[in-house]
Amino acid sequence: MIKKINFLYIAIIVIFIFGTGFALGYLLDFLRINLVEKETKSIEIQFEDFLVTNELMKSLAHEDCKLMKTYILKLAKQTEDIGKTLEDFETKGMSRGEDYQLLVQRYFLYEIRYWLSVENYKKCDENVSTILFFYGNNDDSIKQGYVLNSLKSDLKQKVFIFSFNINIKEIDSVELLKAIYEISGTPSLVINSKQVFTNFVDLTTLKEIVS
Amino acid sequence: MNIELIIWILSAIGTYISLVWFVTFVKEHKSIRKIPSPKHFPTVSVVVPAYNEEKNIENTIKSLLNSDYPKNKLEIIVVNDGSTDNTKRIAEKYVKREAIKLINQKNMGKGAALNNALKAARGKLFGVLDADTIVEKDTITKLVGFFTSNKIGAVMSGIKPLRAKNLLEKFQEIEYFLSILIRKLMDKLETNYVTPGALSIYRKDVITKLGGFDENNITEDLEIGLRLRVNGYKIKTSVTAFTYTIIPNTLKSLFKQRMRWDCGLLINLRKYPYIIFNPKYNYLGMYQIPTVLIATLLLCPIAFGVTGYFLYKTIHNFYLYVTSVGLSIPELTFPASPGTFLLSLNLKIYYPLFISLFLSIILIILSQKIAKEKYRNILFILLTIVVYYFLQGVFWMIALFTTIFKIKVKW
Repeated sequence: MIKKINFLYIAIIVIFIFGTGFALGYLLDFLRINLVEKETKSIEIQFEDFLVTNELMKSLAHEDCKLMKTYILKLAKQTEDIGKTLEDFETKGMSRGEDYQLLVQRYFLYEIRYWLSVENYKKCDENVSTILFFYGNNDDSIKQGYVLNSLKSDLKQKVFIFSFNINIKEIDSVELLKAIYEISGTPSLVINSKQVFTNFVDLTTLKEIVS
Repeated sequence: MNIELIIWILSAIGTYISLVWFVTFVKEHKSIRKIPSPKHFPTVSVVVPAYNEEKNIENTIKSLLNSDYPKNKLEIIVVNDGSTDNTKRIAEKYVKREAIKLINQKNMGKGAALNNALKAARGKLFGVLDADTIVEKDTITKLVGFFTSNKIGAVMSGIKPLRAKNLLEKFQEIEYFLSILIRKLMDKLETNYVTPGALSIYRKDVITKLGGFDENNITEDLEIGLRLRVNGYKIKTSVTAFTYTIIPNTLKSLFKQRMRWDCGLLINLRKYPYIIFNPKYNYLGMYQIPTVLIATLLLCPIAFGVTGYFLYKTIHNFYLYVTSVGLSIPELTFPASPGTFLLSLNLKIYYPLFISLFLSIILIILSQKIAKEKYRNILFILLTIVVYYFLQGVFWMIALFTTIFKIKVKW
């Protein structure tokens, strides 16, 4: 005799299993947002601390390069880590897209402030270089990213890279930077606030410029 | 369409199919090994169609002669299908001892060989055993017991590989064990539709009434199976009556075999299209055949496309990396904590894949238990699923292409 199987019952089990998966995915997105938010808050406080300390020193007419260096380097590692985390999460198909976008915008704002500080720090150390990297969803941007990673790993604390996804809009300061340096396409690089490249730049050329 | 959504749909379908088997197993596991004892011993004619099988046929004949089925009730017929090697001479040795009958015919194919034997056979039951397959002592006796009603048209054995030495054979071994379990579960749902040549026993009067085997079919065992089903006969399977068959040991021979099987299935489903979604055929029409079609026409191409997409992305990114910074080793970065590592995983892709993989592994482990085989290493099972079943997908894709464009597939 034919054995009866309740196909609907099995469909419900499948829906339950995959529903749990969706819920888990949503929970992870929530945890991801929380993690980046926490890290961003922490670094913002440290940055504020640095700014206040700097202002204080200025008011006392005692700008301390050593102190600046300590702060700049300490913040560099954390800034890089948050950038990597955000980049990593971007490929995880975040269901809380809006929250993620807000975090990225907040991070870009922080990057600009940090870039200004490093530019200011250059008077203490002339060997330091800054690169503003504007990227998009194209192969050359990916390649430029690899080149910049390689450059950073070679020159370490001598170079500071600030990345901006050109597709994330609504931040006036980023738009202003783009307008100042006449950035229209990606990849584009602004090196030491002077030289602007609006196409892919290879590793050798970059090394020659920043060394 | 979002690639993650495609993966979720594929995995959900895969999980659904695995769960159907899993639930059937849970419901029926107590009765799976039950062997109905034969109330009487009808005469069984076992036919061995052979074409250039000089290396294997002797072992096949010997295994049949060694069967515990009553000798006076067992007729062994070898059909030499125009072999050009020593097959005929080897078979004649046994004819002289009056142990077997030998029919010689010019090379006309397996279907014709079986029909010739059908005319000569005197048994009430008609068994087909490939010349590269051997039976256990009690295989035939165990199979005969399943003919408990006139509606049972055929009974098939549990097929295992005779030997599995290289990696490709070991992959197939896993597949054969899984087939033993799945066919038994199909038996419970009455959805079996194939009667493999590695020993299936038929009611001779039924086969004769249905017009014998299709001589122009590349998978005559599948065709007769479907014909039995559309004529209202059931196909039973045994998980305790084993046969051992020689399996392809090279990629080329495996490809050739699977092209024949896969194209044969598609061709025969085109021959009997009215089974599909036909409630008259119960689960066969409403679940089994549609599932096979979904798997071959939808899942395989999509899974192939998704895998191809990821493969392309990986190779493309590697190309971009090499063309930008050369062949240097990228700096390794490790997650700050286990929590960060967990968060860095894309569970939207891994979760559904994990669920379907998990169920597949469970079914494979159960199949090894049912086939009375030692448990294989989980990592090897995983490797089989990833590599071998991907290969099967490739074969399906080519078979689909071959069938659509009507490229001829030979035996």
